[in-house]
Amino acid sequence: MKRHIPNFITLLNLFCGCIATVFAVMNQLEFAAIFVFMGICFDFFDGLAARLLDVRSELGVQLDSLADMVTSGLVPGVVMFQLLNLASKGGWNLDLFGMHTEVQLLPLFGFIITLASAYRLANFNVDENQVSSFLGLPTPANALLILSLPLILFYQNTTVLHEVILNQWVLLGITLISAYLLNANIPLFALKFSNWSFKDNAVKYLFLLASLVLLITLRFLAVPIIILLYIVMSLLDKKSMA
Amino acid sequence: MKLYVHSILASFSVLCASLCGCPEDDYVPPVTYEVQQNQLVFVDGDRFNYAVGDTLWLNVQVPQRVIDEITGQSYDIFEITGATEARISLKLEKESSFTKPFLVNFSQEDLVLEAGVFQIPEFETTQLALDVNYQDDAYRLRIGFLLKEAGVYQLSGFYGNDWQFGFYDTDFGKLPQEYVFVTTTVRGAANGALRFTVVE
Repeated sequence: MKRHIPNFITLLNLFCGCIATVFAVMNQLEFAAIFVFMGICFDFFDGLAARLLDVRSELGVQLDSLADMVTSGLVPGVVMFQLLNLASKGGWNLDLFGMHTEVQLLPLFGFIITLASAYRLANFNVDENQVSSFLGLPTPANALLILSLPLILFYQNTTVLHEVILNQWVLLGITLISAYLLNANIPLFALKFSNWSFKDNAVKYLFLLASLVLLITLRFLAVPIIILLYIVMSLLDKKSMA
Repeated sequence: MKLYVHSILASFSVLCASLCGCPEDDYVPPVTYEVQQNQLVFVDGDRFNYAVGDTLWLNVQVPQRVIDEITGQSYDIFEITGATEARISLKLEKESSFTKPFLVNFSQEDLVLEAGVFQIPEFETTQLALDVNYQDDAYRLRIGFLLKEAGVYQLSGFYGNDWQFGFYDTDFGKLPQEYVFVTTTVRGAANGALRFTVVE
């Protein structure tokens, strides 16, 4: 029975991803974000449960990737699609099978995030080296980055932020950067502690402190900055280790 | 104020969860055992010359307990993996005096099965997938090829000349997963490929 507990938690992650997809398709991006964040938490707890109960399994690893694909791969793609849809104006008039329809091609570029996530997750499953550090941005962190955009629009909307976030070129740029970061050969530290000593984990503690301060002061606007900080600190950490 | 604190804490928790890398901890690479045991494939009577209308009977018998001829180590495939079948894909080439050998398309009508399973992929009829099945302490296959055309033929692995059977763990909840790869040869054949002649 206990061997099924982590997989059940993983399925809860997937279920959250399914609900988030529905909300994202309905353009209820705020609710989509909430369910993605819940999914990310379940994603954290399934691995923890597997280790605590000592029931790690190959099935669990595969299931985890499949759940991540929906929660942290598909949903950010749909959200970016919706944001690009809001940002782009006009479309192509097409006659498909006798039906007249207006098609906007630009929003489809949002799914580059989904494709890049799939590639990353598949690549991850065959790479035995990514244990104490990541190569490229993990899909949940990337999902957090993309899902923070609609939350900034909902909760911290100013004319400047509105103009910046709903600029199609900015969104396209974020999409391409996101796709690149997911699969980039950049070593990034994992927030994992083998001991609690400050000396051994200085970079992680500093990052957590900076993140907390940024979140308190900037709220959701802090997320893109934190991700940038994460990459910069990882690169510096690598340099200092070298 | 309370809601604000909660939203900050929730965002912080999600951030930490997204960067902790827990799924990666779960990965344990599979353990693979490479076993070389020759002559587990044979044709009836070790015959390599046939006439049109004859049937070439191909047999595979991989014992449950195989012994690596290089290290002398023995492995109980069924005990290790619990596998009841293993697959190999084959190709049949016909030699031609003009060009290099060409691939022959397999046809269901030209095959007679007595043990195991065969399958010809719908869109890749030059490939013959064969499954050995576990039966009486061995993984067995017996299939007959009806020979309809004269020529010199060569039967070998689809992805190379090796005759390799992969036995994969059936208990997906087990860690690490254990795989046994058995590489063998055709009894009486000069190299990895089974070469035979069919005359009118």
